[in-house]
Amino acid sequence: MFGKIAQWSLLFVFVVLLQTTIVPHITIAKTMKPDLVLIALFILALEYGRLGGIWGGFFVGLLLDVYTPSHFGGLALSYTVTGAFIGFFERKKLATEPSLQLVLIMIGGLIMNSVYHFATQGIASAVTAPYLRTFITGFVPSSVYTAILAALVLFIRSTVAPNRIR
Amino acid sequence: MLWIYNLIVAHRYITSFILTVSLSLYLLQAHPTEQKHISRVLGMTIFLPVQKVVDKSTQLRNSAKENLYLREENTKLRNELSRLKSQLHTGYIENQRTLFQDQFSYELLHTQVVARDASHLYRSAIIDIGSESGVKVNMPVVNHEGVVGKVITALPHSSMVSLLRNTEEMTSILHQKSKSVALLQVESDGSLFAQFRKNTPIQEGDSIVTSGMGGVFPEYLSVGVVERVLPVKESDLFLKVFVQPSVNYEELRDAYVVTLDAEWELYHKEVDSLVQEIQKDVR
Repeated sequence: MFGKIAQWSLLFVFVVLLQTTIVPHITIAKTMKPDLVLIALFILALEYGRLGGIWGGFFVGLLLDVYTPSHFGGLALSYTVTGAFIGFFERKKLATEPSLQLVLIMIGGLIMNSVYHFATQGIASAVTAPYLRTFITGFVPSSVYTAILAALVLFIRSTVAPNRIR
Repeated sequence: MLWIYNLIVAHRYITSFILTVSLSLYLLQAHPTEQKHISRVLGMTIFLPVQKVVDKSTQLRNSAKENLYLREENTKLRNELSRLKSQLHTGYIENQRTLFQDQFSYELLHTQVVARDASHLYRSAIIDIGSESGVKVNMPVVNHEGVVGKVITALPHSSMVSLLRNTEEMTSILHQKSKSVALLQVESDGSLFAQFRKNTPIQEGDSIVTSGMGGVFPEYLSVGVVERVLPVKESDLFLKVFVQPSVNYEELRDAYVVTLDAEWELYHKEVDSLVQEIQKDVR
């Protein structure tokens, strides 16, 4: 149990480092930014369900908040909600197809970005034009980009450890 | 209390969710000072290992940036060094020119060798000044080491110099100790030699200078030193003396054209008419 927690903690630390170092270099047109943390959280939540998704999301969000404290707690909240959502599709309970997994991660990306937006800008901003514009020009392309990278990661993972993921 | 524990375990998903969301909302709503405090406490406790890893990563990134900066700085400094060396060289050349100007009463034109004889014999060279700068045929070319050669062709912006090692050249030289005069000639392999009278007291290392009698080079310009003296027989009339040139032709870059017309240019017409008269008499 603790071994698994330590293993995932290390993975998240590694992913956070990648997110802060490599992602700025592979961002397209300043708005299409892949979320490697979300991919890791996605894998965790599929493996360990809602509980893993919630706590994993909370801790990785908190970790990011500690190192990017512009809206302290905002990322913890958004990753918690996203982890809880993805956790519903735990692979032990639901046989999610690879294509559905990619759709899930896209939806996860949209949820994460939207929750962070609401948490930092307020719920009322949901009906404003800037949110809709950001949603279309920022959240959707970023989620698609994340899904494309996730497809690559999942493919590699299924090749390396085929018994762990469909 | 047990029922609370059982309730939490039974509803662990929703409990965890409510707990984490509440904590997140609390952090979001907290006063900025408190947020900073919590952030600092988290960074120094449960995220301390992460902090260390992040620090290492930051150090690495900083080192990489520093490395890049140092590389750029190194390139800049190398360029600067190169520029300064060039300036130093120019200053050295200027200094040498001044010394030459002091030594000679003739005007010196600084020049650079832009091309040389392809062979290792260094028989000729091209310099970067020509007739437009005042260069004329038969003007001596020297550098701080000694005699380089003489101009044989003067084009508007470049000139060809026949070096002292050219086999076609013969230069009047003087053995400085004995004041004996001889003609400096060139072997086919490029080595310089002269034939002095047998009784001339010549030793290896003796200085050889121009005699000033050829009409091209002014007197007492360094030509070289005696490299070796061939042993003579009883029947020989002359000593064969090999001369090591003072100019290093392999490193010849800068030189000076001495703006001195050949002395016999003044008598050129008279000599020509004399030759013609002799030819008429012969016929």
